[in-house]
Amino acid sequence: MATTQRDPRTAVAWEGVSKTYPNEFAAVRDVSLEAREGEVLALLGTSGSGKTTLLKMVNRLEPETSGRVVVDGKPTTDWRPIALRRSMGYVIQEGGLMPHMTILDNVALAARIQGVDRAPARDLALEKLALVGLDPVRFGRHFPHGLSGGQRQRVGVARALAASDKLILMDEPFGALDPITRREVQDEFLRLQRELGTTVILVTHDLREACRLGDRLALLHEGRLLQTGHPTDFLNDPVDDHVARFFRDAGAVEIGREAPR
Amino acid sequence: MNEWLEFLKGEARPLLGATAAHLELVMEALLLASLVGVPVGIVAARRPKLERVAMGIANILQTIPSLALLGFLLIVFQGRIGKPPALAALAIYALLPIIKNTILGLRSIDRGVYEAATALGMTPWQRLRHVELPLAAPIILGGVRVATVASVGMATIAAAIGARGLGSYIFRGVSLADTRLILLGSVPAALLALACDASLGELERATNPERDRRSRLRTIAASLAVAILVGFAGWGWWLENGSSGEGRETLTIGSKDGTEMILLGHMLADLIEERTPLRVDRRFNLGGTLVCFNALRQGGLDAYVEYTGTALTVILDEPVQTDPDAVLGLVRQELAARDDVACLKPFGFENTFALLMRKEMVDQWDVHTISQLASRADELRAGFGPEFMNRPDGYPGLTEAYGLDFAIPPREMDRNLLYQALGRGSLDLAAGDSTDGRIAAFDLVQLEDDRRYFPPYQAVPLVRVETLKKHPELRPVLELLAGKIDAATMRKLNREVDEYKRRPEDVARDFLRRLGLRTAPLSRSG
Repeated sequence: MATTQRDPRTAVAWEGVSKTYPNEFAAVRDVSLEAREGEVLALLGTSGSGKTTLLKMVNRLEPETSGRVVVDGKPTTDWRPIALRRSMGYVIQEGGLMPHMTILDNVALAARIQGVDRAPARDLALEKLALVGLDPVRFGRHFPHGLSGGQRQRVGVARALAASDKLILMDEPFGALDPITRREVQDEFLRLQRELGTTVILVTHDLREACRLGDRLALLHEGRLLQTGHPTDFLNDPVDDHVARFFRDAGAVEIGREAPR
Repeated sequence: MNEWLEFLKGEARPLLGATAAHLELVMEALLLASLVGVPVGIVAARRPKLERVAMGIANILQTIPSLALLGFLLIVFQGRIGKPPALAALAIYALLPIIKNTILGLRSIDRGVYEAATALGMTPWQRLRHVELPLAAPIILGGVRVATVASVGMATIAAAIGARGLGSYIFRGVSLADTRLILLGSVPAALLALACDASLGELERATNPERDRRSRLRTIAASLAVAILVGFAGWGWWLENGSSGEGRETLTIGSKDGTEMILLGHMLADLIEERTPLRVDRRFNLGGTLVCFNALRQGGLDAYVEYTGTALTVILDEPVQTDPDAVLGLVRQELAARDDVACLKPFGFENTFALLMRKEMVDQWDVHTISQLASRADELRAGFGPEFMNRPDGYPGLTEAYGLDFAIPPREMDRNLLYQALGRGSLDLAAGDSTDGRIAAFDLVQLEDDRRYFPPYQAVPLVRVETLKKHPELRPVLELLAGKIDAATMRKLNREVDEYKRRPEDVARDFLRRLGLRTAPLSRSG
């Protein structure tokens, strides 16, 4: 895997990466994949497929045991981990908000830890909150537990954007929301992503979400990458039975049509 | 009721000072324990191996009986009595709940929050400061609160090694069988514990991130309460350290427990203060011969009063002798040679162990000597103090000398409680001091030691030779009372305190005044 000749439009590249734990469990096996600038790449798979491990390799929460991950043209092993993490946003289920900080402080945190003064960090937070559709005046002084799930998720996105609007990693970000709220937040997120041209790597087990948000899908199973491509490629041209079955079982009949209910 | 008010009025100011000193000791100990415990907890929370070691050590330290720990620390601190060893003991006991709760608090943090903090690019230090510690704070504070409440109680025991605080009231109350003094020590201690518990509990709730936002008023109230407690403790610190000024040199005079020792201690201290420019720090009611003597030898005390017989058998570990002058000579020579301690002239009375019974029982049984007791020993319920039970010139030798065969094993209890227990009929026989005022107070009779088993003990001031060299004027002052107090006088003075409940410092002062050794006016109380 010596693709050192980098596509200028590649934001993140996994080059033959594997992750084997000390107990010899292989969570990821020899995966090569790339996320291009400005696209939403959905890592799709059942639990245990290795999709989250693959995502966490990007910010070195789960370092690979072989192969390498290249971010912004530089292998992650050449980055200082702190600097690497500060260069991208990260959103998890429920947003991963700090329960002891106000909404405003939560969003400002990304800037504050990098030494930005209180006032400019606050302005940045106000701007990002407005961007995700939360009224900073109304919600800024609230604590996370006083917000609804959808609102918390928006705050999580705002915080990620405050860290970087170039690259955001998302791990099942909308999983805890009810279907209607989820749809709403997804739509808003997509609009925002298009507007800002943010590169997004999204982990999900929900095929419908992957198809709705993802420009490209990467289907993983037991640590291996089965297929990448546009959603329609999977329907029309599955590489093997497993891919076909996954799509059939997940009720993918509606996918091609971007199924509203 | 009036009597109570009068008593309270007399004690109000020293009591307030003792309460402040008590709180200050507890707070310093907790500060120390937190400074050690929280970092240890933080490190241990990350390393399971270290956690086992840290928790193991803290657990073991927790199980050491408090008096044993104090005794041990006294050796570690080379005989320095008072605050340093007390502080160390309290901090050691406070360690376990603080380490435990720090680990617990850090472990309880939501995985997602922890991961989000890392993914934001926080350095480990930033994560600890801005995320982990604030989130663990309520649980850590909970540990501090538990430790504080326990320390308030524990700190009373520290009076045994001369630490200031409420414990001195309790110890004095126990040794004088004075319930008022015991209450005076324990009621404020209980109130302190409640106040600490309530204010820290409120603070704990205030640090909870999911608290009710309307509770701001209570948060302010709790912070205010804690601030007042800290201020009060600060005053206690100032009393001890700040106000002693003017650069006058201070001598530390100690005393063993018991009325007689406290009285003699006050007399020596008064004489020094009256007749030399020196100040005196009084550390009375210390827990036992070896506490006092080790402190004296290593400089924690400058002087205290000891019995020659005790010095011979307990300190010098020599066999029992019965000739008073021979004992005094031997003790004087040995202590000077071995420990650089001077044994001054005796006060003039002899105090010896006395076997006591209730008068009505003596009359009924018609026994007057210990020999006469031998035939009826199997019916007796006897009680002895711990020192008597274990000293070669105490219980072991006594049974041998008189062939006493107690069918009921003697109860070992605090010697100050023996008089009461005997007087109230829960014991039939007890060993006391022949000069004790409570012998008359409880209507007890001393059995004659017809085989001259108990060695006579003369009371003498023991002083560090170094102190005497530095202050040559001291020796004549300390010997002003030599030969001035006979057994009858001593018993009378003891009785003033034990039966008539007068303050020992007043009794001592009035006595000096009557001898013309002190010019200060007679006290009005009593």
